[in-house]
Amino acid sequence: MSVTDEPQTVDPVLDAADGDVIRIERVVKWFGDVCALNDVSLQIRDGEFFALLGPSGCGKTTLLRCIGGFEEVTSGRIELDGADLVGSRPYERPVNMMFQSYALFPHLRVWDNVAYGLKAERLSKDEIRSRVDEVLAKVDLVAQADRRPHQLSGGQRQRVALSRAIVKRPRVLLLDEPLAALDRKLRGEMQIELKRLQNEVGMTFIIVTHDQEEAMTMADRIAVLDHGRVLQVATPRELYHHPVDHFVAAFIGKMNFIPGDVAGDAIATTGLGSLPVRQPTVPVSGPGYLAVRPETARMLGDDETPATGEATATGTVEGSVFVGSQTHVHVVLDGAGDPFVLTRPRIDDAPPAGARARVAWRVDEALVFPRPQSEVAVAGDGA
Amino acid sequence: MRDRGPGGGRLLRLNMGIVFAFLYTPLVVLVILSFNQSKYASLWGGFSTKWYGVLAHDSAVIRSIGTTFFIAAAATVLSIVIGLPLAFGLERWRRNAALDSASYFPLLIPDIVTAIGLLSFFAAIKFPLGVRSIVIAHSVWGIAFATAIIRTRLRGFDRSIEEASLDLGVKEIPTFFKVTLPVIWPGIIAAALVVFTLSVDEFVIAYFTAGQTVTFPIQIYGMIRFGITPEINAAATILLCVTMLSIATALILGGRRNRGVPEEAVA
Amino acid sequence: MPKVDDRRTHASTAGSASAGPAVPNAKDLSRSRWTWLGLVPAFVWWTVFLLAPIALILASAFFKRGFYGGVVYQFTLSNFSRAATPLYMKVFWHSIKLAFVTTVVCLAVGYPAAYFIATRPSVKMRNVLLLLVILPFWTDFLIRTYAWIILLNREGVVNGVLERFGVIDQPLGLLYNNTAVVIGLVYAYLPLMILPLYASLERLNPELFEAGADLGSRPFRVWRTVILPLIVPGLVAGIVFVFVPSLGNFPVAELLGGGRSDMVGNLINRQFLTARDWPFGSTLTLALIAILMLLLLVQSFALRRSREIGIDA
Repeated sequence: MSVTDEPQTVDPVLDAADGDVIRIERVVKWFGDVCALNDVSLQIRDGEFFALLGPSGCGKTTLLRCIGGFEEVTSGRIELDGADLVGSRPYERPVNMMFQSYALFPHLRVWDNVAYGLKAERLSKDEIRSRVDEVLAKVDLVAQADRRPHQLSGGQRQRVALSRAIVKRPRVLLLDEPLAALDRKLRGEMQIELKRLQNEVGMTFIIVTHDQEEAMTMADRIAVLDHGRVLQVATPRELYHHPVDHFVAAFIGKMNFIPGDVAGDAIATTGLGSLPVRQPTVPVSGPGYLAVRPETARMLGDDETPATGEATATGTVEGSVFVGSQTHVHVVLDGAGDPFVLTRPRIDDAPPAGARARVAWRVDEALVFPRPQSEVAVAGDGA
Repeated sequence: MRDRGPGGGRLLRLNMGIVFAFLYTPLVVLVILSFNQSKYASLWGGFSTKWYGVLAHDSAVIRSIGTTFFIAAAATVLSIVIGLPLAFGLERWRRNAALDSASYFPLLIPDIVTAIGLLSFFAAIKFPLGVRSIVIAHSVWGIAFATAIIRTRLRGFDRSIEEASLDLGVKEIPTFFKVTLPVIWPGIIAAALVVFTLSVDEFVIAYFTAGQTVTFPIQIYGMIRFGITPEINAAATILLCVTMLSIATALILGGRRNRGVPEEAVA
Repeated sequence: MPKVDDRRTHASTAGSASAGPAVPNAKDLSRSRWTWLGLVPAFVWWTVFLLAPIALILASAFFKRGFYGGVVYQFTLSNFSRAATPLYMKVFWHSIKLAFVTTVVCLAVGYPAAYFIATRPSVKMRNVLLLLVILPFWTDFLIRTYAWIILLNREGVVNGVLERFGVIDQPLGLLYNNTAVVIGLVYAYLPLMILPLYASLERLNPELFEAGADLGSRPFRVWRTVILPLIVPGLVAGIVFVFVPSLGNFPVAELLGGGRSDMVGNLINRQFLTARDWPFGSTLTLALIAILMLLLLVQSFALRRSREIGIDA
């Protein structure tokens, strides 16, 4: 696994590869005086399950709609197989969308909903019938073919929306928060279903989601967006182990942050003294964060000395939370800040609240980031 | 507030009862009297349908009914044709309060003001008074009603199905006919029924802009002024039934929930 | 449990179904060209057939009556001075009084009715009751008025019943007076008071009432201080919907008032169709419009206050 420490700026000319089906080049989108997409560039490979991930308002849905043709970009190019899509209407693009609200036609039966797009292509009746039946079989909706949308459950409606788009065999399928309306259990099942389906039909999927767990489970590669910019594009593993900045590190999985001033190979904190850090290729200096994943930290016994290469911090146990397979221990480190969380596999050795504790982690497993400008002004915990 | 009120629950019920009695007694009396053998409202002479017979032979009345229906149909068509695009336009600019109130304004103006205005206007431009002038006059408020009703249907309508249609390969105009129209159709029918009914019933504006034409309400007015024959009771009862049926249908159609809107939390 | 990663992520990562970007999602952008056009026919139509006529009324008021009726385009203010004479002022004042009484009666009877319907626990029940209230309203205006004639006149039902049971010897003159007119007006416009009141009441959070009571207020005080301010839009709408048409009404006054209870409506009617003095009729109509505008102004003031504190009609 290579260490990617640079923020991944994507240079369209250098990084473009022949296996790309979609190339987004320097797209900018303004809504009045609000900038929704700020110089966004991405490549998406053929057959990939690609996720656009980010908090609400980051521009991911806007980008998706630009690819689909429902919004026009203010400037930039969106290429599909080399041809620029900008300016063309949705029905002119070999791209189909599965809408967040499913957008099923309420006055048509399931079968007619799915066949709708094919009828627009003027295929023969037999061809239409065989394709629709095939897709309905794939998503297990054959029994519901004669029903109307309002007679279906949420999960069934979702499958109709999916089939309707897939049956057109588009180059790329866009999915706008497809699992948002489902309950937790169904969501988990559908994640697997979607992944399986995508593999089976071999289509390129681009999914928009705000749920990082969902993206991590389903996607081959993920683009993390915030405020209209792409922060990092990488595989789930890459994102988790090598987040490019503080935002991505915080957004993906759980992360502990210890604020301080970084100089050379140490970070000067308030309350915990100076802690050793391993600098990335592009060194960090000035106000910053030391970042430690909960599962990489451990609790030291009372007389135990830390191993070589480990850094330690002292604090008071605030409490522990039993979540079944793990126990999360919260330790308020000296110097305050948000509690440091560790995950421990066994509950019987969870220390009592109020006890003093020492936490240790390997220095080369921790990350260090510069603190974003907006947060420098806040003293103490820097959140 | 749902399952209780302050003290006096019985008083409320009484009041409600009085209101309903007040509202319905005259109508019930009317219907009963239309079957009264006797000419006098104060005397019950036995059950008879003779007044309906008299009505059926009264050619003036029959003619006025025909005229009225024709005018109502024409006014309805006009109102829908102009009101439908207006409804779309207003929903798009929903946030503009001025536009919104402007579209309800025609409904607030007392009918006599509209009537006088149009009378003067038609006279000034030497437009002949008659069926055409009444149709135009009715369409003025008809558009406002049609728009208001169609808009409520538009509001409950998930716009993304139009985008879905575009996405699936259908262009804008066919999308309107294949997707938008079928879904808002009940609203259009409801609007048509309401405008039609109101036009059939409308008196004041027709009275002023009719010239020599006689609509059914105008006919009734004349009959009332010149003396009461029970024939009117029969006519009134018929009109009553037609109106109630029509409005009940309109309300059912207009109020039906937009089918197919996905429930967010349903598994 | 404080999640350390939640510091930077917005609430959306907690798994709630966020709708998407916070930017105005202009889904209708592709239609904006067409929908603009939709406004045009209606507003053109209304400009020609509504605004122009009203402007014409305004203009006519300043002109003289032609010899055979119609309008002679000679500027004059005589219509206004004529309208201002006690003869006509009395009629205006009378109309305002009757409209006022009608409104008060409608309020007194309509508010409890609206309240009753709004407090029914089942939605179906409420819809049924509303339907029952609305239905008579959709029947022909004339017929409804006529129904009262046959109820109230000398050979009418009420008299008939009373005589039958020996309560009176002579038929009562129930018709052709102010009371009859008010009854007719209330009958015509009561549903228009009930509906907006119901709409306002229905939107109220039921717990408000309980909160008020919980904090120690007695029912009337709760009503006055909590409920009343919140239903102002509905109240104002109801009042306007009843007062305005009552003021300008003419069939009811004509048929139930029989010439003894003159209202603005009959006056205007006579000027236009009998006396053929259109300019003068226009002046009277103008006066009516002026009163109407005044009312709408008052209404918008009342509504603005409500909107400020966050209530929508």
